[in-house]
Amino acid sequence: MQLEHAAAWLCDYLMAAIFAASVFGKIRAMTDARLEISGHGLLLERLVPGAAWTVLAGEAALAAAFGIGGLLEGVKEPAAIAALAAMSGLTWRRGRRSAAGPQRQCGCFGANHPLGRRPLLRNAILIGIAAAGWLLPRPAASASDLVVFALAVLAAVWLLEALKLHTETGGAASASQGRAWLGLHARRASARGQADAAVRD
Amino acid sequence: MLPCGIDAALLLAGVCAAAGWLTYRRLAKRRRRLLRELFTAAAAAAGVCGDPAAVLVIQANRSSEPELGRLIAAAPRSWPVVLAGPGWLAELKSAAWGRPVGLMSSLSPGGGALRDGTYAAIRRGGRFELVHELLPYMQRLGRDWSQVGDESPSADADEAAGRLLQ
Repeated sequence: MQLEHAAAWLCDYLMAAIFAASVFGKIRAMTDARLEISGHGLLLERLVPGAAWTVLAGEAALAAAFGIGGLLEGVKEPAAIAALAAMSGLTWRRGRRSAAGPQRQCGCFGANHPLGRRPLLRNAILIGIAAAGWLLPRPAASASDLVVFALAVLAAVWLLEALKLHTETGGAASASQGRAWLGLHARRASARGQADAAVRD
Repeated sequence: MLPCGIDAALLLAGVCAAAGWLTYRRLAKRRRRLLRELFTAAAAAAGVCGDPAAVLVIQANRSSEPELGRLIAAAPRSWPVVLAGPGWLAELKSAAWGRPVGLMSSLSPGGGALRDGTYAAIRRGGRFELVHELLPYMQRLGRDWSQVGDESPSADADEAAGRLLQ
């Protein structure tokens, strides 16, 4: 295998995995995706749900185009670059608008993290990868290559989602340990609430 | 190609995909279990009967936002509130918001974003959705709460929230 062919496939693989993971994450948190779009303040409220599904469909189409060799050749890379540049512009704009506010969160790629330079840097790297993939030649893939490619993309998506879940749940958690404490505090708070209500009455 | 006729790359990709899927499933189950336990504990804390539709988890540094505080005070009483912060702050917030505030601190010794974040955990059938854009979400819900306050905050809010959560 020539080095440039391997590099081209690696670029396709990374782009397919990133867009597929984004679709997966957004499906799990569609409310956040809708609020994220609404937060940009560019669309009427009634258009936001349709826009969210359009973004999702666009990302799914890009994931499929990069995941299936030979599909939308010469089109998918500029489309991905345009999409990433648009997302970066919107993220930057939102970051500037909310710079003074307390809430600076980014739901980019279906993941929730602080709104800062990191999403912009990541998008710049992805734009570079898409541009490199656009320039590199690649041979037509066989059917078995495509199956291997698709399985590898799925593995990456599930592992990225597992990483997100691990971040959410932390290490070995034992919720029952805290339940007693929470319940104890709650009973106190509940009793105080009743006492306050009694005082008001 | 392996002696048994299976492509080595195909086998490796298949094994990686299966490992990824199993890891994802295991962690998704853990997340579901933690959230189920959070719902049960938070409901008991707030004195809510039955399974709540949502739980509000508030990080200590977000608890001082006036707009968020106003919306939390007006939120349905059937939505338990849990503070990710120190106990004394939970006491203060409980008085300020006029409702019981549970404390997250020892729920998960391993840490993690579920314990430290600011979000609404919403139960949708057998699964849970986390909404991290809490302020716009509460504002959107709050627009449909026609009557909020000390006297009857829960009936209208519960009705609006039940409709909007669908």
